[in-house]
Amino acid sequence: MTKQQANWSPYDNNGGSCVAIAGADYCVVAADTRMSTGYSILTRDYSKICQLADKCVMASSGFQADVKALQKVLASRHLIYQHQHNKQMSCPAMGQLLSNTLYYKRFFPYYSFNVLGGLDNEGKGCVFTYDAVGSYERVGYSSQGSGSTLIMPFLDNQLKSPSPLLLPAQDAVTPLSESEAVDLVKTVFASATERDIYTGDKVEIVIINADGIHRDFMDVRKD
Amino acid sequence: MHAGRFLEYSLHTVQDLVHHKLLHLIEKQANSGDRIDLQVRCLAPDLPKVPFAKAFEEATEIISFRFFVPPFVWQPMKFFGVGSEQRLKEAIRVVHDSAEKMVTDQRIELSNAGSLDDRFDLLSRLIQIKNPDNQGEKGLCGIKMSKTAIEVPPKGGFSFDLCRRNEMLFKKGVQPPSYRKTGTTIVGLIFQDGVILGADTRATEGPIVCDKNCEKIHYMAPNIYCCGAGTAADTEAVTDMVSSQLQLHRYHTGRESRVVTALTLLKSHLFNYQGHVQAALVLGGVDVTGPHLHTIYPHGSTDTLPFATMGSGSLAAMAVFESKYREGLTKDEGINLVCEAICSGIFNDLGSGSNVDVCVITKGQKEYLRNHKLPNPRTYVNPKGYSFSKKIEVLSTKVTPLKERVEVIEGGEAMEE
Repeated sequence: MTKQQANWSPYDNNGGSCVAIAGADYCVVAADTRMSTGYSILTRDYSKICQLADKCVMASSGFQADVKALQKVLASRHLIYQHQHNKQMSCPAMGQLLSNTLYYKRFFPYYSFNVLGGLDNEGKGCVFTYDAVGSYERVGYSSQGSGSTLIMPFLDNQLKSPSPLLLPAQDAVTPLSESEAVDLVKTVFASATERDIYTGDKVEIVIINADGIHRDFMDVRKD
Repeated sequence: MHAGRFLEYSLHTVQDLVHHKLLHLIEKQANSGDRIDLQVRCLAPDLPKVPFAKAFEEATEIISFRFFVPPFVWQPMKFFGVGSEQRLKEAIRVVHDSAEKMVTDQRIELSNAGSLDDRFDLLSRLIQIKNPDNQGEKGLCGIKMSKTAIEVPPKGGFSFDLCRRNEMLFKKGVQPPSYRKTGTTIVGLIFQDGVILGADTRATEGPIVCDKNCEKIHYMAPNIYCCGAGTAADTEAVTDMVSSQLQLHRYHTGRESRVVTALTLLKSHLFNYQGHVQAALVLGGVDVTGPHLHTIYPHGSTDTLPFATMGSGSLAAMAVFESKYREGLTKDEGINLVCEAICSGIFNDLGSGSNVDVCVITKGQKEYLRNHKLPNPRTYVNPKGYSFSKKIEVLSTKVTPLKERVEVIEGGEAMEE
């Protein structure tokens, strides 16, 4: 008798792409705002970016119900931290917390592909990239989601010095200025929208620097 | 490892056969001027074909299984003669026995009949040429082993030989290769003076757009056009084929093609292939009997309708048609409605996108409006542009001049057209 397979899956993929780039004194985190299922669009206006601490922002693509649950868990753990330590969590600390939270559900994972961006304790930009079960690494730039296969090679090519392709990475962060990095992110999303059906509608771009957090929107193709 | 050695062995066997036997045979035939039939019919009708084929397939399956488990699993199984390896041994024995029996039968026939000149198959020829020795036996058995030695009547259409293997691989988790589908919105409607067809222009390969501006409205006849959704290769091939058949029919009858002719040709072709040719079509045209619009499904059923939509965006487009369609539309109203329906598919269905193609067919004339609407311009283009430096390190350079293989003979005869 052949093994019985489940004809119901607890997961769904809502699509989307996210990108994060770290600079000398800033960090840019961006994600598209389209939420889809199968061949249909659920909404054109869904924010995939969540602010976890005052200098730390997370962008997640994948199954948005799991993402929402993950964000709630992190928010409550952050609140506890604030009560116990009388200060905000730093970005590297939040990075470790996210990794542990994801691994905690190793055998029924959060279907969530995350990039964490922010400023570390010295004020330099930092980006952490994750897989679904919590393996993470500090990098100079990263992308996740359905468009990541289209975006990553372009970033590898343009942001040469922090690229791990030139082993070892010459710089921890990119030498580009903030406006150049934002330009790069806009180009990258316009291109990914052309070829990936799950990416489109609008792009939400969040810039974290010493002055605080600034949010911007860009329109892209809606088809 | 074993894969490499197997390949080597097969290569040597084939080389042997070709150089020492096949080439001699063909040379001999060329000199004698006889015709030789290389279609192998080496099995006598009385031989049990079925156990041979079954054993062969089973052996193939079990050998493929070896590739999925590490050697320390199947080698002990082989040593102890247990499990699948035991069945493999048995299967190989059956195959070898059948092959040897076939060869000995042919030899007996040779000794009885004196010559096998009236049997034109490859095996008989080879038996006649070479001396009977052990090596030859193995070689002949080698020819037998190839699947083409099994008598198969020449058939057209699809060959389902690999279906069992594919099923087994799929169960092991090997993904079948994906083919390009058009994940589409195509529509048609009948208006006052004729038919209007519309289509989007996006072709997808899974979640990736592989063509941002492809053509989905295909020409069938000067007065008939057909939109295609489903597998891109299937829609292209089927519409091209029926278009040629219609042309021949026009020459034969001397009359303008009718839409029902195209319809019947398409539906019978698709039905013959039982849905394996995945083409969903919207066929429209105007002939002597008036304007016609039909939908054709991959299994061969058809509908005749005043307005129709197909493809992954068909629901989005049909929603527009059902709200706004009425009989007796003018040409401009019709074109606008078709554009609206396609745009609805483009923006609400992820499988459709880019631009709108429209085709208007009326009595005696047609207008093919390629890219009639372009509602999706590229949004952000960085004015400074990007540079891609050629940072490829040259590690070593080796230049090998190719020997000249062509000899140019001066003063040869001019080639005939």
